[in-house]
Amino acid sequence: MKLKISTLLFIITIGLLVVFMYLLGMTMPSSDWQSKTEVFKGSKKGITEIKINQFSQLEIEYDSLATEVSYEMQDRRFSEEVMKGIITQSGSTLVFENKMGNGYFNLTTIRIPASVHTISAEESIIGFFNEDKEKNIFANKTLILKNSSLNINSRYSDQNSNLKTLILNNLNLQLEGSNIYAGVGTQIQNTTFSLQSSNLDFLNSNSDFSSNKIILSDDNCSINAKISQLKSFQIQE
Amino acid sequence: MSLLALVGFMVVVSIFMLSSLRFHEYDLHDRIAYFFIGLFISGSIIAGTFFTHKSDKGAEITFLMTPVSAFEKFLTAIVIVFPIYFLIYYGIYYFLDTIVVTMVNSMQSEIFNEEPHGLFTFLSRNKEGQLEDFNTVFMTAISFYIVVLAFFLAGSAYFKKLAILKSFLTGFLIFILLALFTLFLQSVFGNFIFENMDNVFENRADDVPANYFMVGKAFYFYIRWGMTILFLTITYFLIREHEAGL
Repeated sequence: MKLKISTLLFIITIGLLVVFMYLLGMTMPSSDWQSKTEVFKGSKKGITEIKINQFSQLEIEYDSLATEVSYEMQDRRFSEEVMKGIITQSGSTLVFENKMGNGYFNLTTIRIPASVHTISAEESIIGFFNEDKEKNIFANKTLILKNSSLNINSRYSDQNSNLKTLILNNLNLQLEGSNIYAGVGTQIQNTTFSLQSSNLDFLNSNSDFSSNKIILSDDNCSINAKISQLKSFQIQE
Repeated sequence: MSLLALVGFMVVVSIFMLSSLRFHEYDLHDRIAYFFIGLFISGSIIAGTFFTHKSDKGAEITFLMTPVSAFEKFLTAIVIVFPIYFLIYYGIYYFLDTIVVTMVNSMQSEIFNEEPHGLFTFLSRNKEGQLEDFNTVFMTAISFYIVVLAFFLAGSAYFKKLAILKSFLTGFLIFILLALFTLFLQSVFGNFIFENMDNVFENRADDVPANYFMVGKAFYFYIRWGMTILFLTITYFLIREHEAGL
């Protein structure tokens, strides 16, 4: 039987389709390739976003100082949130498994908020206060300091910008054997300082203070401030 | 005749839709979807019934006696099925859509007082007034539309009777076989082979291995354009073979 050209072409058309599909299967990334380990450590940022492409398992070694980690997984194609939750654990490594199947959910955003952040030694807080660069406001957080010294100064907040003020609003600062120094351009509002054997120094800060509270737990505390600044504080023993 | 039937069909569908539509349900995204659904269905019918002369002896004699070459007949088919039909369909749809939009706008509730719907276009604006990118969606849909049409045109040139039905069944059978082949490949290679194709579609070369990206691109190009060219070539040879009595 003689093969017609049209029949031959039809076979070629479907044959090419099959060949392409086979090639796709051959070059398909293996699951090893999809498995990614992302390491995140040492940052003191308030919110960290990690964008990861397809993965089957993801390990994040996060700042051991952060005690609470929230995460969101998003489908990159539709920018829809498909999974979120909060993990609280004592370890410093988080392991996420992609249980959504087949790697359809490509983009993952991990947010590690420093809603509770403990600084155990003298550290700079450049990253920590740098949550909102535009407004330069640090708000609604709890910060625990143990045997630490903390300089709050607008020039630390973003050295590349010309921001003159750093606003602390509605903070809960718990100090144990620590020092806080608020420098030029720092505004402190609605903030509670709980002091235990700690020192506060606001003398060089010439900005607005309002509706703040200081709770003193022992006699080993000192507050170095102008009278006008102290007026904004409600001091409790 | 078939065009008249098409207009009638679209009018009936429009009236049916109007009877159940609310203002919010007729936004531009939906209208573009209606446009393409109608285009795919009606275009397939036009292409699938183009060479119907084989089932009618009188028409068959006229077709064979027409003093033009097979290539000219083939070119005529392409011109009518692709650009001319598209323009006619677009014109009819635009006309009917304008009527529907006018009516839907008049039904708009005064309470919500929203912006009235505009005339049909492939350029949609979001709430901030910026143009949304429908170019890619439009081009992709049109290129797949062309492949489907080329397939139905080849089917109409091949089958003697009930060409459109047989073309549809053949296409469906090929689809099932390819789906089974996909399952086979999946069992061999361990993963669904199209899993990373969205990275290829959206040009994210860094997200997939280079060879997968390259094969994916070639595969996509082949489906969109390679298969169209092959199906049209098949159609041409079928006309020639038919004239030669093969």
